Amino acid sequence: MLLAFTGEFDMKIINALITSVKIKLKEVEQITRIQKRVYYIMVECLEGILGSYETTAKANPKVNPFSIFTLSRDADYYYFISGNYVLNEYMDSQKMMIDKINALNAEGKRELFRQCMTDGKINNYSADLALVDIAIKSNNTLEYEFKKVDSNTSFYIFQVKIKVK
Amino acid sequence: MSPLLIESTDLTPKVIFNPEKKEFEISGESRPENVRKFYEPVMDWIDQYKSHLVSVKSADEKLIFKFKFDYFNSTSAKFLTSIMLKLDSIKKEVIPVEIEWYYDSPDIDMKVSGEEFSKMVSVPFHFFSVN
Repeated sequence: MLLAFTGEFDMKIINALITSVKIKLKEVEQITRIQKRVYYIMVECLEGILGSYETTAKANPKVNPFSIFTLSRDADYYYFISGNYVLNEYMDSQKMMIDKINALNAEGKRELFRQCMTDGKINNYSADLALVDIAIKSNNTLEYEFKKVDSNTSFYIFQVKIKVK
Repeated sequence: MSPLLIESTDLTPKVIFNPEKKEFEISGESRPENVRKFYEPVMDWIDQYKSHLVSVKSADEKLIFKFKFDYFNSTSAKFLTSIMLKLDSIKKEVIPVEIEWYYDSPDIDMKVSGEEFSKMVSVPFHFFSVN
């Protein structure tokens, strides 16, 4: 396990986690290309947790801010797992987007990435763009699960992995 | 026209836009807390510079913009796309522009990112691997 954090995320915490993993990666990963790829995906996942929470909190300020993130490794893969509370009304659109990305081949994902980049929507965070970027860089299926908490919220778990070599 | 000089931080890149020295470069890491707040002045400067070039009827042969990123997040990529499109409009309407895209030699993803930007615009890209 390289990193595990549970609690309320903000930019200070995210930056501290990123710095900590950056240092650790240099110790445990000799291949620079993999170091960089782990870094890319980790940052997108962490920023995704914060972006998701902020979007949810705008619609429902009472949403539980508790989130989780883990980064681990075995002989074959690095595993990124994140979890946070989301509103049930956003579940379907999120599922649709991830399923759409997973159904695309490599060129299809790149084309979708280009579309997201040039759609004219300039926001501080774009979940769709981040998901496509993660999918391209991981070259793996994006896995997810929504665990229903109550009539308003579910706990959204997202997992992605990249090959060690 | 006044230059735009922004020092780098842990989260934001260095920006050197100096028309007098003909230095145009963005370098470092880009994952600002507020990406719009960081990049809007950069984009505004490019718009103003384009107007300036038109008004002075610049005799410069071409402009070279250098990008030397260690990392940029996906949201920064969107703003970089806007920057590329603005440079493209300068190239099409005012004066030739070329882009130099630098990347660490093991960082294939950064090279690919540059290649993706190059497909979006007509500005010629030149790629340089470092180390």
